[in-house]
Amino acid sequence: MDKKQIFLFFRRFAAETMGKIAGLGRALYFLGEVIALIAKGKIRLGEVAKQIYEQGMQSVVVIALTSAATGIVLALQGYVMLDRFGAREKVASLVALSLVRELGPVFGALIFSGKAGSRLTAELGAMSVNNQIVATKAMGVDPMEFLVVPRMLGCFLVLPILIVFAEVIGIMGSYLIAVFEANIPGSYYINQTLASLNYVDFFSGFIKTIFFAVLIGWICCYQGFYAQGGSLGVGRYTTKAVALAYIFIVVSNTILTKIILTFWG
Amino acid sequence: MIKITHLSKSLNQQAVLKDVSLTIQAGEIWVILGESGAGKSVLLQHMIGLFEPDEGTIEIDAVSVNGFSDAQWLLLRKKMGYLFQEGALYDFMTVFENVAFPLREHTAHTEEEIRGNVKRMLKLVGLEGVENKTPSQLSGGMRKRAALARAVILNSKILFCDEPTSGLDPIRSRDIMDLIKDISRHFQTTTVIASHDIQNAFRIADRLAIIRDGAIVVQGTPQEIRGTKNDFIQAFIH
Repeated sequence: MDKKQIFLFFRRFAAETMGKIAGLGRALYFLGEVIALIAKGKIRLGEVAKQIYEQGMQSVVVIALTSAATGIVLALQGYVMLDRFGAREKVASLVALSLVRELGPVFGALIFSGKAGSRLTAELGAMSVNNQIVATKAMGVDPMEFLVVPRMLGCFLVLPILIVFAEVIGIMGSYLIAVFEANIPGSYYINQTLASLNYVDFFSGFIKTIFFAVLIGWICCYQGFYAQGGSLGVGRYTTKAVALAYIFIVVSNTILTKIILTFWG
Repeated sequence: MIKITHLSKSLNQQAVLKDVSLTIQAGEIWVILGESGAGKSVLLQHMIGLFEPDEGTIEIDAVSVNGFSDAQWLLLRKKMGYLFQEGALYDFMTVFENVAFPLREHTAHTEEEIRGNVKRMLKLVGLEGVENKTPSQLSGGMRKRAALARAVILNSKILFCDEPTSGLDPIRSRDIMDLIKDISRHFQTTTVIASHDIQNAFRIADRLAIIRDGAIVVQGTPQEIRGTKNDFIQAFIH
């Protein structure tokens, strides 16, 4: 590499870095705008209810199926492993703690971003490339208030409900395996499940769920709102939004787990 | 009513508008004519505050709108209607809901009044009986009519139309331009149309401006423009 090539490389690197920083700034400003609108009470309750229904209905079946399968597989594997150590009755605690603290929020959030999150980006993206967002402004209506706040709030409110539902379904799935496969008495299994969970476990899962809900809503709405490039662009931005949501969920889950374990155990 | 003075704008380091000056009187129908990419739409979008000028001033009703905040623009836009190239109707609403949208947002009308107003407006633009259809179920011409109804439902004082005839056959183009003229006269709006449809522009405009590479080449009444000796103008209009 001669001097000129090195110079060009660094110049391109600097320009790309600056572009990323500017993009992050725009995304933070976007989130700030949404929070400010919510704080001012600019919330269209009808639209929020519509979003809760649409996002919830769209994801509930897949989340329930995944959760039931996760509970069943955990119980099957757990019972076989624990049986080797003569602790088969501990399978209830294993499933409950795994689902509530970790798997429920993470799997639920990943599926939700694939289903509802991609829909948010595609919907807003199609509106962006077809000038519907500009048209909203041109009609004297704030598109952030009309289009983004209800979607983000819907996401924020529906994901925790879906996760709790998923955890219940997962535990029900594991209950079936425990009772019919491992021959653990049903009442004993339920008592063990309830005894093994305390408020820190719920709190740990809940904090993660809330954090993931904000992340998914923010990333997917932001990518959709600024989508460009016609129908191809909508596809590109939707894929980007889901990929970013996946990465941020996985990375933030690691950090949150460490923080929660450090402070609350 | 709209006064633009020495307006210049660059986008991505490329000059899109160069020293544009126009004075549009209340009640006039103006057509900004030019080839694709000449800067017509950007000029229109400056008048509705979607772009901020790099240089020059824009006055609407004798008030300078340079430096207007988002809140001030949102307020001002309630007096304006904007017909987008493809209509920009909301896909998730029916035609009725689309046309009713500005009324629901900016008036305290009862549901019955909204229903009456929307029906009257749809009748005016020749779209009776399609209230419950979604935009995707309409033809291109019908979508533009519905979008026009939505643009003027608040009795807008200023109407902007961006390429209203693009994608339409000659007969539908003529119809939509006639409709814009009728609506403008009916509501006594000041109307500014960005178009490359020369024939219809000369037919309905009170005044025209021809824009080339971001600069106004000539402006005046259709007769004045036809009489211009400039070679580009003569080549463009014939």
